[in-house]
Amino acid sequence: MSFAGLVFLFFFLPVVLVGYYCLPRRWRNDFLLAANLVFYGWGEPWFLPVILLTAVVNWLIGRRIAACAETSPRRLWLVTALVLDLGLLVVFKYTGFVLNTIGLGQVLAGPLPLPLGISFYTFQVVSYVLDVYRKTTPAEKSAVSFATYMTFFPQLIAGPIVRYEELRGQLDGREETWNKIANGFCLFMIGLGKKMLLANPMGQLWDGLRALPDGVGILGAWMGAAAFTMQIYFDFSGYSDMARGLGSMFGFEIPVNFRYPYAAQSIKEFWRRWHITLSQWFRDYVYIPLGGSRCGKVRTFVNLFIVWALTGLWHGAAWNYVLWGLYYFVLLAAERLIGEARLARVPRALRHVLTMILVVLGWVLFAIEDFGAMTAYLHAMFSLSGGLIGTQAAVWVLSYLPLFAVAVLAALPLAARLVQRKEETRLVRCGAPVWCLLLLAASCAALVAQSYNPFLYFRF
Amino acid sequence: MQFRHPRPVALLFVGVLIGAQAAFWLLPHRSFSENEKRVLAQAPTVSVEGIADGSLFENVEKYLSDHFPGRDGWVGVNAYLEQAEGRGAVSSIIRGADGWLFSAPLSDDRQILQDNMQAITEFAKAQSVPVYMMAVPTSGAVVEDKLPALHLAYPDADMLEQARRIAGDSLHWLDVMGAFRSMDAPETLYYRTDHHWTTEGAYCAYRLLMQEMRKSAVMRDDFSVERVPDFYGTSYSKSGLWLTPPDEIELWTDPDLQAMTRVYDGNSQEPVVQKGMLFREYLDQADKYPVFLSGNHARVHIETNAESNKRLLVVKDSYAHALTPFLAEEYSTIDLIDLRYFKRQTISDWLQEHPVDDILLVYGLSSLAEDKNLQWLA
Repeated sequence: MSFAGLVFLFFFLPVVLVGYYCLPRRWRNDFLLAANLVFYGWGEPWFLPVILLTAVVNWLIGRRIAACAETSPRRLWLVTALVLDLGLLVVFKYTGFVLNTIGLGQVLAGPLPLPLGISFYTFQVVSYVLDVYRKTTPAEKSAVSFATYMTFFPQLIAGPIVRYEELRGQLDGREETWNKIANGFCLFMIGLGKKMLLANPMGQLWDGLRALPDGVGILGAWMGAAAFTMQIYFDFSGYSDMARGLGSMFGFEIPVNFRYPYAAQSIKEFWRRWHITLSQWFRDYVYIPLGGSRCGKVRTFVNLFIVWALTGLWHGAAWNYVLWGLYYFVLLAAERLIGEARLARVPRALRHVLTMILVVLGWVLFAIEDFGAMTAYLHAMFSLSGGLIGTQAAVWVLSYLPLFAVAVLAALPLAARLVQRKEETRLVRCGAPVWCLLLLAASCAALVAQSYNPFLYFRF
Repeated sequence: MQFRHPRPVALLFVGVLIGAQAAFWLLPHRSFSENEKRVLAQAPTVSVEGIADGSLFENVEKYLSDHFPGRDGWVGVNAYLEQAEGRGAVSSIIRGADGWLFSAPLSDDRQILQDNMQAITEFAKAQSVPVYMMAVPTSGAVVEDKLPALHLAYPDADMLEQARRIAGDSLHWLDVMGAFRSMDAPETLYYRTDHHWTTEGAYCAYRLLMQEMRKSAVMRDDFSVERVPDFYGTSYSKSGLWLTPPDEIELWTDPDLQAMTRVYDGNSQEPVVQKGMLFREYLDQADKYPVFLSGNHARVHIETNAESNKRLLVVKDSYAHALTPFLAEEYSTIDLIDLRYFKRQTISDWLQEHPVDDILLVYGLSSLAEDKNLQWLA
């Protein structure tokens, strides 16, 4: 089930919310688990066994690891869990990619079905067993609590990747308050608005420009890439906001996943603001175990290379994602070689613009899987042979320009800062819920309009 | 943030969601959407197979969105928001001045147009009787004055020129675009809220046809004109811009002309028989264009009291419907065949059994450029 859908918004959510608060505390986790499974099974119930198996096995293994004192059986259990979890991820997500790469693409009749959210929940359980193994967190005693955590519907499908450690205390001792519910709704509606009112239209601009037959010109090409830049940010951060809002409605505090990444003034800063929980995961479970930056310069760069190749691959089973990851490896390595002190001498505005140009270029690598099309697009961005802007592209760009300007403003922390500063005023206190309801109404209109398809050759 | 009174805020939000759901359960559900001209989804039945193949979930979602409270209102809100954002210039319906709603320019992919014109050309070459062809441009290419400042270019003139070149001298090409553009008031030729031409537009095309045939057309004074208000066409339905004022539809009738219309559909042998060519029951509906020949059907057979005693075959889409009353002045027998629905035989086969004196092709350019059924000609 998708958050951005009428079924979720007006049926699943109110029913679960009311049901949750009607129940006494001791049953709430069980109820949430049931809700999680309905949410997950909706549309594709045949993946329920996969996720349930993952939950049960990891819970059992966590208990085993915690119960053993000796190192070798603990390690054996850990390896078993990792092989199983990462194995399922690799099989479902990367079989087609691997077969294609070694020239055996015809073996599969079609692409394997990908269980929803497998990339996210796999990383969550891996962090759990590793933490239990490293004794940084105790093993969860209750299977229901563990399954509730692993399948927690707000962040099951598109993150944030919440470590068990972070939710442990909240699983059996969280406090639900009216303020959390009210704030949760506001956050959810802001996220919904980001998805429906900014990300989707920006996606239309990107698709529209790409579909133009005779070239868009250099300006059109940059505008298209900028539109995709906006689309992916509002899509992803919108989902994260919705997840955090939903969590808050049930008393959970889910960590922030995006902190205005397009306000970054360096690539390093960008990655401290973009998909924060993923970067932290790779830092804690790949980069640092590999030795991080403590084993000499060469080893540091090797470690960075591995982390960024994997980061790229995590985003999708195709070589362009790997290329995108390695692009960031190169940029981050370059920043490291230049040194922060020297970078700081560049004026702030220039640093910001340069960072954004590099990020936009990166999204082109990310957005286009086909390498031929990708190089053609990059060529259009750097060559004047297509002119400044095609006539059709100009119409597209001009008609989306007002919304694009709104998107740019919304991607920067200006408005949020203003609201924060005036938080105590009546205008903000009363205006915020009204604004959120307006966002809900406009998103709802967009959702309903999606299903509106006049059938004009009707036979009377 | 810390709300001073978080409880009413939270309850307000929950109340909105629950209220919308309550409205869904309590309000009556329509079975048919007038604006979309389609039967809305039925309440899904729960079954194991439905869960296993996922169709149940799709059906539930479809059902909910089809019967969402105030559905058309939401579509309207979305449409006007799109206009306010300025995105209307590239949507499928473009809002012009004075309540004009134009279909977006046709896609520049010319493959189907070329295939269709080749099929038409081969068909025309094989005929021993004269073949005439009318290709009607879209309203945006003709009523340019009413287009908004920002819009994509209409390729109609170029596409028509290409079509004409492919046809060569295999048939009599009627330059509808040229005739329309030379008119003083091109905005009378199309409906504002529908993609079709008006009766005026059809009459103009009829005169063009008569010119090509070197015959004199019936004068407009010979017709009595009836104006029917409140016509909301297809562009209106598609646009969601519900505040757009309606069109008027003009019915031109020649009091001296008598006609008998037989409407044949795909499978049934028994035709619907009607006196005259107008189906007035459709004037009660929002979309009144089916008043002409009752909309799209496989074949319509018309017999008139025209003196000529000649037979005409019209291969067409719905643009021909408004034109037919004028053709009826010239031919005592007219058959109109719509290749989207006529699947029993090819036109060539049909002509073997039913010889005619003239053949006329009437197509909106959008059908020529997008409809693949023209391959059923030969």
